[in-house]
Amino acid sequence: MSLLRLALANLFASWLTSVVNVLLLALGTASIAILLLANAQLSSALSRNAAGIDLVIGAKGSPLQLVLAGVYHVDVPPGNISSAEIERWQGHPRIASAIPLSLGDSFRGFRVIGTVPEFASLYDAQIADGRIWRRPFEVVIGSRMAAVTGLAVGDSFAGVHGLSDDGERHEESRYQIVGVFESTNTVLDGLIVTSTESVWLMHNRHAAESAPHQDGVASHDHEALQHDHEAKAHAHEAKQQERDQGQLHNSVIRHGNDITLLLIEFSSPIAALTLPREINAETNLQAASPPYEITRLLQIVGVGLNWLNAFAGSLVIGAALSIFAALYASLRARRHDLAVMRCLGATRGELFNLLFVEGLLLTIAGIGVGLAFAHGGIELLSVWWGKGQAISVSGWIWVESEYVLVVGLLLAGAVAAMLPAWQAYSADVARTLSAP
Amino acid sequence: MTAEKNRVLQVEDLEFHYDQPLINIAKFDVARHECVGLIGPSGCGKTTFIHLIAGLLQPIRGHVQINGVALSQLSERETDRLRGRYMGVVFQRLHLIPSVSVIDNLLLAQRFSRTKVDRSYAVNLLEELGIAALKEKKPSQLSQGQAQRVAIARSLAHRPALVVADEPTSALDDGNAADAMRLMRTLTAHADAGLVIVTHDQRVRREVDRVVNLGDVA
Repeated sequence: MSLLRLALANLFASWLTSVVNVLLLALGTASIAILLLANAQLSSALSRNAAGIDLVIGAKGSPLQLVLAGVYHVDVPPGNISSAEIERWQGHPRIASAIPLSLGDSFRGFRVIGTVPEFASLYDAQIADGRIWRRPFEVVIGSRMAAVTGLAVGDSFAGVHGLSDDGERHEESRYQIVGVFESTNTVLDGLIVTSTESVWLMHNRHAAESAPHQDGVASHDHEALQHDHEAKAHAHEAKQQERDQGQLHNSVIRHGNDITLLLIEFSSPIAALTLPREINAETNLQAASPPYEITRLLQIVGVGLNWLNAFAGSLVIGAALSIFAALYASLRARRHDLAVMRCLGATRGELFNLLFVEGLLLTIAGIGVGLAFAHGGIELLSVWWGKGQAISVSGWIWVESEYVLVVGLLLAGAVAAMLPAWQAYSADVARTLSAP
Repeated sequence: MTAEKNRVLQVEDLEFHYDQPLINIAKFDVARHECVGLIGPSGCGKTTFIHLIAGLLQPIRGHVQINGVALSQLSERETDRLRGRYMGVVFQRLHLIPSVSVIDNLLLAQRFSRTKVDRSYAVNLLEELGIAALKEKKPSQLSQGQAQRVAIARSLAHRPALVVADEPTSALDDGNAADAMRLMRTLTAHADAGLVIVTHDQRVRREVDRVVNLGDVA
C-alpha cells in the first residue's frame, strides 16, 4: 500500500470535509481562471479585429463609440460623413488605404456592411463558397452568420432597417447571397458584406418611399425602385435588371451619398502622430485610434477587473486556509494513528509526506475542478450566448497566465499543507501513545 | 553462541526517569519462541518500557538490542526502520488505521517494515485468526474481539523477530482473553518470533513461559 493510496484513503474517509475543501478551492480557482480566460480572449479578439486598422474617421462624437461601431460592430455610429471624403482621404500621402463603411441595416442581428472588396483583406478572409459581390444587393456572409441562420449561396433575405430585428423590413429589395467567407475568428464572421452602393440604393429607396414627391435623388431613386421592382418581378428580364441597376449605381454616385466611416491604414508610422490631430483640428470629422480607444476602454473596465481579481484572490486564500484548517483538524484527530504508523516503522519523513500529499491532493483536485468549472462554464456560455456575438469566447483555450495560476495555487496549497505536515513530522510518538 | 543468536531482545542496565526514577532494569532478555509476561501495577512504567525497547524513548543509561542490533548506535531514522523490520506491536487500544481496510492495515505494516508486501501471507494470517471474511471491512465495522485479532495479525504481518503486546487482554472477558493469548503464542511461535506481553492482568500468568515483575528486575 503506497503513501499515495493511504493519503487518498484518508481523504475518502473524511469525504465531506474533503469535498467542501475541494469546492472552496475550485470556486476561487474558477473565478480567477474565468477572469484570465475572458481577459485574454477579449484582448486577443480586440487586437485581432483591429489589425490593419490604424485609424477610424467618422462623424464628430464619441471616439470610443466610433471605434466600437466601425471596428467591432457593437455600437451605433455617431453619424454619417459625405462620400466625398473617400476620395479626399484615399489620396492623402500619409494614408495607404481608406476603406469606406456604410452601416444601417441588419438581418437577425447580423449587421449589413456596405464597403469595398478590400474590406475582406483586413481579416485575410477567403471565400469558402461562391464569389465576391459584383452587383448591388449581392452579399457575402460571414461563416458564423451562415452557421446560425442556415443561409447559403443562392438564398436571399430581406434586411431590416436599423440594428434591431424589429425595424422596418426591406422586402422590396432582398439581398442575394453570392458567397460565404471562411471563418476568420473575427467580427467578419458575423457580418453581411455588400457593396457600398447596395446600402446607398437601399436607403435612397427607403427615402423615396418615405417622401415620394421629393425632387432630386429621391424622385430619381423612386423611378429606379419602380424599375428595379418590375425587373425583379420578371426574372426572364435579368439582363434588363442588370442594366437598370447599373444606371442606379451611376445615379447614386452622381448625386452623392453618405457613408458611415472610413477605416484608415497609414502609409508610414509618422502619420500616427500627425494625422489624427490634423483631422480633429482642421476638419469637421473625427479621427479615433482603435488601439488607444481600446486601451482606454480596458483601463476603465480594468478597475472592475482588479476588484474581481482581488475578490477571487481572497477566495483562494480562504480556500488555502480551509485546507490548512482541515489538515490540522485531521492531524489532531489522527495523531494516534500517525504515532502507530511510526511504531509500524514509518519515518518522520514518511508522515510529513503523507500529510503533505493529502494537502497537495486536495489542492490538485481543487485546481482541476476549478479549471474544469471555468473552461466548461465559458464553453457552455459561448454555446448558449456566443453565437451571433461580435466577439466570441471559447472554453477550449488555455492561456499562458493559467500556468502562473496553477503554479501559484500549488504553492498556496503546499504552504497550507506544510504546517500540519511539519507537526506530524515533529510529533512525540511516545507522548502521543501515552496520551488518553 | 546459539543462545546469544536466539535472543531477540536484550536489555542491560536500562534506566529512564521523568521526575523520579521510573525504569531501572539490570537485565532482561527474550529468546525466539519464548513468551514472557512482564507484569507490574499501573504506573510502574510498563508502557514506558515498551517505548524504550521500541526506540521511541531514549534511555538515560543502558542498552537495548533488537535482534542483535544496539539501538543506541542507530540514528532515529535507522531506529524507525529497525523497529518496523523486527518488531510487531499490539497496542492496548489496538489503534488500527481507520481509513483503510483490515487487509490494508496488514499490508501497511509490511510496507513500513520495508519487507516484501506479501498479500497472501497477510490473508493466511487472517485465515488462521478466523477473520479472513472481514478482510475488506473497515476497522469501524469490527467488534472489539475481531479488532483484537486484526491487531494481532498486523503485528505479525511483516514476520517480526519480536512481538510486544501492551495490555492486549485488558478489555476482553476471560474467554476472549484466553483466546487472544493462545493465538498470539501460537502465531508468534509459528513466525519464529519472541513475545513480550506487558500487563497487569493476572490472567496472563497462566499463558506465558515466564513472568517477570517489572519491580523485580532492578
